[in-house]
Amino acid sequence: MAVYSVIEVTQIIKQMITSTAPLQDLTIRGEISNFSKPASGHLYFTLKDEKARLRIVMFAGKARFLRFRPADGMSVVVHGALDVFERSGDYQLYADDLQPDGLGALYLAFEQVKERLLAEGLFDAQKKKALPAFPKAVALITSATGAAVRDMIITLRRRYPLAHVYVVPVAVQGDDASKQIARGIQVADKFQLADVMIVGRGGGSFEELFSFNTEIVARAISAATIPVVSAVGHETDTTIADFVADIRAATPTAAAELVSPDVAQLLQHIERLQMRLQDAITHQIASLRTHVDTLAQTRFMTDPMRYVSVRQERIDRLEKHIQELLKNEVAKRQKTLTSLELRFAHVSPTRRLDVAHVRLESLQDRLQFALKGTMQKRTTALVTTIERLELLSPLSVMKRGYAVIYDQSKRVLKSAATVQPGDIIRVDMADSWLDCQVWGVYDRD
Amino acid sequence: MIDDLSFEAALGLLEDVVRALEAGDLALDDAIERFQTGMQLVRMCREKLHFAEQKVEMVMATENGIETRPFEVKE
Repeated sequence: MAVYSVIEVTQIIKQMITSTAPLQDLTIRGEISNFSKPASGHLYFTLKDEKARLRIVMFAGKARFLRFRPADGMSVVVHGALDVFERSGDYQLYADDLQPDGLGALYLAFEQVKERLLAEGLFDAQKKKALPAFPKAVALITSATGAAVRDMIITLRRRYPLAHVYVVPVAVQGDDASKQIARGIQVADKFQLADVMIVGRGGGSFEELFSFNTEIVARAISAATIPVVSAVGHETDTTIADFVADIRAATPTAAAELVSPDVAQLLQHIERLQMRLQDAITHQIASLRTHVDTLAQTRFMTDPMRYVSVRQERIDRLEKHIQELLKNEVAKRQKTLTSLELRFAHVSPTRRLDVAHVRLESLQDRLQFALKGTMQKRTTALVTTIERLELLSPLSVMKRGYAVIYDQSKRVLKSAATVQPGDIIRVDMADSWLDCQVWGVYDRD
Repeated sequence: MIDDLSFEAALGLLEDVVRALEAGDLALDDAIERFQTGMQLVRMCREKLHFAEQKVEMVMATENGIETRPFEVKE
């Protein structure tokens, strides 16, 4: 069988205790006995009931917040985690909260209301409304007397005097407090008194703060359309109002700071904005000026003619280029033309035309020759016939004094047989004619 | 136009002007004009903060509504 050392056994026990969850979140009721508070500020006592006792340690860090002085014989409620103190070998509770047990009932009520409202979703994060950055008015639902309202007003005056402050005076403890607080919240909301509302009070015991744990106040806060900041008691005090409010402030003064921008910071902010404004404009003007200067220095501005000459050169080059193009183009066209001509000549009719032309000419010559020939022949024939005609022609005869006689019906009279005296006859002579009347008709015997 | 702006509106406008100028893509004349508006807004915001007088009133609920009375608090 294995043999353990004391420390090993103790560690097993310690491990078991620290790993059982409920033992790490314990709330225990009992009576204080042999209470001691050494200089260190830590609290050591034993919590007992009729049948058992339990060692309790509350370190100074937690003990500092206690608002009551624990003493032997007091019945209290302790909250903390269980652990083993190896050196002494005993288990003890390391406490983080200690309340007089008289509060047991109130605690219970607190837990119950909290559960119910949690279930109803009154604590839901997404319901939380944001605070206005620059509130025109702030409503304080708190006691009109006492430090809390004074601190808040002074803080608001110091930080943001622009905001109009409305004090809605309510009782902050005692039986009627919760009703008054709820009513105050409703009035502020109904008349939209302000852009934001602070609901709270100064420090106090759990009982004194309890009116902020009531359902009526919680529901009033939840129903408010204006954002609500809860500021109940001190940093360590948590009330149901804190869960329902849009934002929880540790103290009334903190709430006043939360809702108000600080004039000093605002002035600095404005100061910075002014600087950025001036920097931006000077920067812009400076960069424009340098831009203008650089433009002035560009080669174009300092030596514009160079720019022109560059262009000139380009134009010349372009011109030469165009001429070349033109020449090539013409040459190309010429070549195509000549080749076309060749091909044309090859197939073109001119050759045949020339040939025809030549034949035409030769035909013309022969024609003329023939014409001339026939003409001569004809003319000679004509001449000879004319000569013969002339020989026969009465004209030549007439030239020799003969005449041709025509009767009235223009017939040539070869004999007088048909002629009567008195007839009109026409005597044609070589060069003229006579209109005569017959006197006598005589036969020639 | 600018004088009747609330402090919050004036500050918002001032921030817009600064952002617009810092963007740096405004024409010069436009930038200068915005700059002048910006400086006016700076002055106005400062004045509103310097001369603000805190007003504190107590609110009393009555049958048909509410009444307010000055509420004194000594520093």
